Amino acid sequence: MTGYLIARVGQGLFVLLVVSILAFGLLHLAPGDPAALLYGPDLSADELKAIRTAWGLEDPLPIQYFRWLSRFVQLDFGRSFSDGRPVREVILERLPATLYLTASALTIALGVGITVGIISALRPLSWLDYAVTTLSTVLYSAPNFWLGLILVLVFSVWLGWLPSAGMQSVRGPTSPGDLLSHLVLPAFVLSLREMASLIRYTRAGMVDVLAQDYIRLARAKGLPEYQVVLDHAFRNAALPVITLIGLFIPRLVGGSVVVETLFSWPGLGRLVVEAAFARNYPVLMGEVVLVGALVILGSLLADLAYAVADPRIRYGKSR
Amino acid sequence: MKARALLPRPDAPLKAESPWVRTGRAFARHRTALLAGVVLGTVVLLALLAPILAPYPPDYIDLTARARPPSPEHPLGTDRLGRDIASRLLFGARVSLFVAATAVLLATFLGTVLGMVAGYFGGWVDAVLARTVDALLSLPTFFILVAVQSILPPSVWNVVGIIGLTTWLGLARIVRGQVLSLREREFILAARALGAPAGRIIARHLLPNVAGPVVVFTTLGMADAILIEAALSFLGLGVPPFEASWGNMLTDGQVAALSGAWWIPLFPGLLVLITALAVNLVGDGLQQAVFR
Repeated sequence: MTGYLIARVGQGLFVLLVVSILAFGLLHLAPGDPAALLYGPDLSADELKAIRTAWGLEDPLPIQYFRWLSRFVQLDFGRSFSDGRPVREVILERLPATLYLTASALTIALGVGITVGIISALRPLSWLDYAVTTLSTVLYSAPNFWLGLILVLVFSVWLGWLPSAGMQSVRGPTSPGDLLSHLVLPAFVLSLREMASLIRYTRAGMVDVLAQDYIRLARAKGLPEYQVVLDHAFRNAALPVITLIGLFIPRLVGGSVVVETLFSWPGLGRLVVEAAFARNYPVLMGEVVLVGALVILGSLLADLAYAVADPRIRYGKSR
Repeated sequence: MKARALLPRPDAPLKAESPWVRTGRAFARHRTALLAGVVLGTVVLLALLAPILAPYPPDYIDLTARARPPSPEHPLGTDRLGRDIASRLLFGARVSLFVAATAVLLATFLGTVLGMVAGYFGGWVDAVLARTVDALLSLPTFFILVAVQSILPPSVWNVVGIIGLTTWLGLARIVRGQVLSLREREFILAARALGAPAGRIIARHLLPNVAGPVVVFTTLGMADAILIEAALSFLGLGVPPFEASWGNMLTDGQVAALSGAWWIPLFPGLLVLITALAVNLVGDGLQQAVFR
């Protein structure tokens, strides 16, 4: 277990190193000279060169990279081009919104996906099962931001039940209820694709398990059906589902880019789009590496949870 | 005499059914997939015939008819600049399908070649490749897509490149797995014993044997590529905004939806959904036909 953990963390760090090299390369490929950008076009070429030398931009690239990296590991990501604030501050400010959104979406996807998958598996090949399978295929093929647009049209524009944008009402007090009403649509929309995969995987797993002999035995013993399904069958069917969570985390965080933009949700996903349009490279790079690190950490935790849930799993040793 | 009677007639056809024919037959038995194939064919045909079918040029702006609901003159309404939505959808189909198809071809090429090389040579080549794939799969790709797109000038080819370069991972993993088991078989050993060079073994003996999974995952990848193009263009970071693409039409649809103009976002999204769904169903059908 310890060996496995060390290997995984090592691999994660290696990935981040590669990403940081790419990020650094990108930063230098990006058109525009930071000195000219900050001081405007009034300076002569010699003066610009003097500034570039003072900033170390004339040094060989590997040296610049290690300088950048050594600041980076001390969480000094430089200053935002747009307002001069430290990038770290800008990112930390946006982090909670994205955590709320992705955590809620994951919860919705797990809750609905697993429940619907189990119900569908109880009557395989019934009309209900058929409808659920069809619906999950449709959900998987739909652009989620478009479904979001349609939901905004119905629930915000026509019915006026839910707000269409932002994280809190402009006027009025901020209350948990207010946050929740803003959260419902974006979290639901973000969860749809993962929900569709979960329905399929849960259904497939449950259909397999329910056909096994020990389930027949449990029924023959006269156990109530809910106990057979939930305690005996689902416990085994759930295991492969848990491995999926590690895969979902990068997908949900990636999906937050479009969903946050659609709903003007003030999180990291929208920040990356804003930074991309403003050519705000320090913010872009800080975000890509930091979000990468968080996602790798999240996936690692999900895999460890898997080992805890199933005592048969022994990472790093051959059985 | 008796033993001879059991043998087939000497002039009986010796040719066995090819795996392609067998797979094709299995696919044709799959009704939903066949229907989805017809739908997909129709969408492609509509895209090809866009110049003939479209009632208006895609960029024709009629400022007197802005954001009109569907009517006899404009069967699917007009957008906020007074452009005919039906015409833009037809021309947008060309861009969206072209981007998705080209990107998928690039991804298929990368995934197949890298997967086969890793699987066949093993050792450090394999280790490097497998770790790279694992690593890239653990990253939120969309963040990286957005960051990279921001430094590139807007062009259709950049969108193709960036989708192609980020979607080959799953295929590489599958091809590698197949090759790992194939390379231990006798026919590969025989080829090697006869002195065939690695390149020939990969191209002539391994490639035909991984073709099935490659076709399946190319199809399924096409649905993803359509969705990624739509999402990137929706953000304004995909196909240049002046070109009609389904994603670009949805960008316009976001503002329009808030004013209640439902037809502006509805139709482009519906077309993305129908196309991606048809592609996915064809892919599922192929999968069942190939991996029976």
